[in-house]
Amino acid sequence: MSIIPILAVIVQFAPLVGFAVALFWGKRMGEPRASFVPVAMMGVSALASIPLLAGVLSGHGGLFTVEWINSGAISINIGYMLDNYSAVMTATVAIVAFLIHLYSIGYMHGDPRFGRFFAYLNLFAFSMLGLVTASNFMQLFIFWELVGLCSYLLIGFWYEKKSASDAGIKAFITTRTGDVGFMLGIFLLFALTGSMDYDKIFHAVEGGAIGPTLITAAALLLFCGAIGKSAQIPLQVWLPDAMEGPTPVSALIHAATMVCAGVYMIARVFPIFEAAPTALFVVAIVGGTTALLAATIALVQIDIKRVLAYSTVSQLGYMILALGVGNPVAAFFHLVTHAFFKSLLFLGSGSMIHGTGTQDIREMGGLAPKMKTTTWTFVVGALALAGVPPLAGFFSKDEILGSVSDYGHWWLIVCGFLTALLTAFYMFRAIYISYAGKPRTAGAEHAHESPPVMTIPLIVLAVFSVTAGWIFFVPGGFGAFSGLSVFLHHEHGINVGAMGASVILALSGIFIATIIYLWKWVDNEQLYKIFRPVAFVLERKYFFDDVYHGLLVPGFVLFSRFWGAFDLWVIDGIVNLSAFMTVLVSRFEGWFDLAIVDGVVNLLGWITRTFGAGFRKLQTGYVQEYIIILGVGAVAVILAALAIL
Amino acid sequence: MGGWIYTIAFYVCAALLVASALGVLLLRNLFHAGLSLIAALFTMAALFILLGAEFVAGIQVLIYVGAIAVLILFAVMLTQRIAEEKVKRYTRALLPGLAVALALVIVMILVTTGLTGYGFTPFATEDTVGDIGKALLSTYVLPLEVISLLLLGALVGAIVLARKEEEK
Amino acid sequence: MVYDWMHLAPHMVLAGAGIFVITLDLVWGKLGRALAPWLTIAAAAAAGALALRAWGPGAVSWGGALVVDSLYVLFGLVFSVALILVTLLSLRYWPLDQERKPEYFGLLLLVTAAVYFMASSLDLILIYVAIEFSSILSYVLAGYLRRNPASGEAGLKYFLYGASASAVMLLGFALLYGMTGTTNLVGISEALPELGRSASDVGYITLVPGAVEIPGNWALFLAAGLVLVGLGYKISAVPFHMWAPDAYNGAPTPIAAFLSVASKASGFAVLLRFVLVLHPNLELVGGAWTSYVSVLAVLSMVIGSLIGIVQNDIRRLLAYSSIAHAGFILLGVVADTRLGYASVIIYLVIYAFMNIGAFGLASIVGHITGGYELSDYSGLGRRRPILAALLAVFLLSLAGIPPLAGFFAKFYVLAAIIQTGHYTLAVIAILMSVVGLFLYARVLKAMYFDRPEEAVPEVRRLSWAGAVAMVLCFVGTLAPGVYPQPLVAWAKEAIALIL
Repeated sequence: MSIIPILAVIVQFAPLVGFAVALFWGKRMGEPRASFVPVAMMGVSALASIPLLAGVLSGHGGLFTVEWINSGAISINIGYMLDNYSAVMTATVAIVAFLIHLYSIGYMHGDPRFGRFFAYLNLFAFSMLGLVTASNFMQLFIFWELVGLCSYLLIGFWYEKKSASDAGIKAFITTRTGDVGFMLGIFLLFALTGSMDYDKIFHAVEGGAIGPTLITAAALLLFCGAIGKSAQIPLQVWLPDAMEGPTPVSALIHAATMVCAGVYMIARVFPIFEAAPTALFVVAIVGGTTALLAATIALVQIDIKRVLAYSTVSQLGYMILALGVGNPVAAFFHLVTHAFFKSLLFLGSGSMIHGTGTQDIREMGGLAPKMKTTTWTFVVGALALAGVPPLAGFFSKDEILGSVSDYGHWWLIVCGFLTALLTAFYMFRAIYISYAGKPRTAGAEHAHESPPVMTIPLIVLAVFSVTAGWIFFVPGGFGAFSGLSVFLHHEHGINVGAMGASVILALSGIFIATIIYLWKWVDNEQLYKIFRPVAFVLERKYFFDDVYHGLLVPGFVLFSRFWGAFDLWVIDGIVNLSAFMTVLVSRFEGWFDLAIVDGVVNLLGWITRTFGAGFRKLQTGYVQEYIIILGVGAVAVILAALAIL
Repeated sequence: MGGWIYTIAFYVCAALLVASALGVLLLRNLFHAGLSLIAALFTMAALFILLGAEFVAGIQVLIYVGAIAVLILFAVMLTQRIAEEKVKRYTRALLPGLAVALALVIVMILVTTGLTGYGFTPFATEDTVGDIGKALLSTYVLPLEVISLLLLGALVGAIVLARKEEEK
Repeated sequence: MVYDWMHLAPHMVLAGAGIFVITLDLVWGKLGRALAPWLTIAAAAAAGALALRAWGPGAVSWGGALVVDSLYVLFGLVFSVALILVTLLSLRYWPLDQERKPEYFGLLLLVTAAVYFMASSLDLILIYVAIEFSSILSYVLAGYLRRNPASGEAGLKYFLYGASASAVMLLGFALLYGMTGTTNLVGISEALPELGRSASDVGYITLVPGAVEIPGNWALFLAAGLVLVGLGYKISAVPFHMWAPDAYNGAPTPIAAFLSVASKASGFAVLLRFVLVLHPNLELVGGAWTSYVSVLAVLSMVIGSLIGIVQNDIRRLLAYSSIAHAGFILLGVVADTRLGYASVIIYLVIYAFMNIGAFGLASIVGHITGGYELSDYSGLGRRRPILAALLAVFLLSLAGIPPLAGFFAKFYVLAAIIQTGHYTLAVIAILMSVVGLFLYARVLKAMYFDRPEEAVPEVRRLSWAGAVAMVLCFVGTLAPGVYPQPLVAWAKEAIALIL
């Protein structure tokens, strides 16, 4: 047996050991001992991922599976699909996760549930690594849901805060909405090909076994999952709220890894999408639009983490856009570089929050001299994000913009290039407001640099953010991203026009931000007044949340209440109505009674009782109604069955 | 034997049955309703005899009339003042109940008219009691035993639920 | 005729133990009270073990009334497991302390014997007697708490409803007998082709004269509908579900757990028996009988999930959840393939553990705090982290979150109906499973995110027996999720031996 699958098992399952230890003994061990095993296990995982990557890149990868369920009609294998894609992703996830574990020791200092936090982080790492290396849709889906669950647990980690617990539930429900489509897509493919395995499904697609309509439907349904997970329009609303979680969580889950799962999934199963050009076009439009809208919203955010959150949504839109224009390699390349510089930015923002005690950039200012390491690493991350050469973001973004130009759809080109400009602008807006000038509050006045356990990860990530793009220059290095898959022979060429345009846009974005926020040539307040209507729309986030809260959620509640009411009130009402009719009938009967027996008193008492019974809640008398409904049901079911026939 | 005698007998019995069943529903004196129930059960037994099921008819009289209906009457008489109490004839569920009953009757009529032309031919037998006895102790011996368990369980359950409070 | 006593061994062990437990109490009260639960558990385990011997193709005995085969074995195991878990839960459940316990366990044993009979009968008479047997004793158990008016009400409502439903079902049985001249299911199946042919002679089902005519057999169609009323009541499928929320609400909570699992499973056992035995000749009669079942399935999923959302009592919430689950399980029958029937069994086994787990925790929390409202669960995550985590696992499994077993249960059912091209049903099922998530999320939210308005006092201590039961349920909820292969293989084999 080859060493590769063993390494993969170590990489994936080491964090599970950490999870178990931290879950059961975390409380007893206390701080900081509770973090030792989880961090060490994550370190083992990160270390093992490097020879794994080397092994796979040197051609020892492949499909390693064992039979899990075999029952005739359904046979499901479990195992690892270790090709260049998954190996690069595994290494990225493991290394970033390790650095963030390390950082968390400092960040979570003093938290009462210190051990529990590391348990969840480890569980997340385990699930994410499982998602990345999955060899079939079943495994993918299981880990897909598990990372969702971890995200839910970690967003709501500080559940004493109502906003945090609400955000957790919002994230869970929103992504599950997308998962409905995802599940249907998986089942549709399963129905069409009889298999859950990637390779068998690819084979069927390649062989033209599935008609164009069905394959488009399947691709679009799968894309629904990506929309939810990777926070694309119209399900982007959960990601900014997810920032209620601890900052390391935002860095790991909501920037570097989990939110990229949608992108990764599409890249992973790209042969399916490739066979459905219509679906790809939809993907491109959604991605491009998301990139632009999110970038515009980021312009007006005043919470540093929300700036980064919208930036993440925007960058994910870029990746989705790259997939849509048929360049999964570029999407994947951007995914990896983004993982480094965005986690760097988040950890940097965490360091700022740690130092000043606020998330509002207006309450910061003048941090640069007090927090030197944080400052320069943050600027490196911002430059990488803006796409300034020779940092990592430049290469991957250029690759995307080149493909978009080649694709040639006007709206996508507008989205792509305008977003590049806006990205540079909003990042440097945030930097100038928070780091430059004078301290504006006491918190900013007394800001202090974070401990080494937090700054060392920043430095390491900054190095990666600078260098990760240079793989571009390594002969054959870019091929590392092109995967085992035979479908992805991407001929690489440099699109000089796009490259030049993107650099010019990035630099002008920075320049405009400098004019407004550093040199203050233009009065910020004046500017805001002029653009107030636009700013209002942006601050309301294009009203997505308002629409959801105002219409969908109450609508749904109303709907289920209606059904509840149907059971209680409508049927009750029908029965009451008939009771009323009975009373009418009985009135005639009552005259009869009057002549013979007791008379009016009896009648009145009876009417009162009958009406009283009508107002009484569901009590003993109602069992007759149950039985009537049983009879109605029996007749109705027979008739309904006849109608269906 | 002329079939018309059977026909007349059937319709007479059926009319009596419907009348006494209505009596159970509509009479406002519980005791009178109970008597009407006995009449209904008797006419039901007569219908069984017309169908040639003497054994079932006998059982009907013995168990339903002899045991259950009499028990009901005793309960009515022994309960203070309940015999004088006027019972209300209408419940709030009257009309829906009638509607459902009507729907079921329509469906039943459809079925019984559809039943002609197939099915099995009823087998005539001289010795109904003997045949039933044999069937109960051969083909249906297991259900018979299960019924005995059922009765035991029901008895225990009834006693547990109805017993007096234990003093501790 | 074959009278094989070995085939009856599990039934006799259960019934014998039931009678023994009751009489032991009369003879030697103190010992009887102490021994009753342990004898119950031992008898349940012994019955399960004895039933295992019957694994294989069907063996018919007792005048064609009794059949023992793999299907019966799997259902028997579900019943035995349910009885053991419910016995453990009942051991220290405080409202029962005021009632007579040996009779309680004796009646539980007899009910279990009855459901064993339901799973192994091949004759309409025995089926009817067994259904009545289990129902009548269930009414008693539901109304067992004499000091609690709600319990008495639950028992009475359950009784009135059940009596009506079984009367309707009996009418269906009578129609079947009238058409075929036999009460034996095998005999009925053999007579069906005869019926089908004569049906085409007699004519068509005329819905609107001259417009809608369906080839088929009115009488058989009606019989199937009427039988389905009775079984629909047993499995609590909409529109025959009305009794369930009231009964689960008032009954002792361990009994609610038992009813929602064993009683429901027994209804499915009879349904599968009907369908599988009649299957070879069913199509000859004409008319897609699965459309009946699909109506019930859709109604149950939709109404169960939606109404469940607005419930505030955990027992009512779980009652509606169990109604929705009945709908999901019925989908496997709609598929009408081997995979579909196997998925019914897989679902029921997994459902047994997770649902007893959920009801069990409702019972345990009710025992500790004395309350069943959702507000009693606020802050449970902090007060009782382990109990809350267990309940969360059971609820997430019920919601179908992978990798918990509940996901696989839904997965197989969905795979089965998608294989047969019931895409609309699949979409409804997936949508309703998301709605179900809202339903369970309300409890999760209460446990982890809500603050109790006032401190919830703990009036009683957690019993170790309840804890053991919950751990067993936890294992049963996790294991089939991690390694479903054996369960899947057994279910497939059980169906393959019959169909």
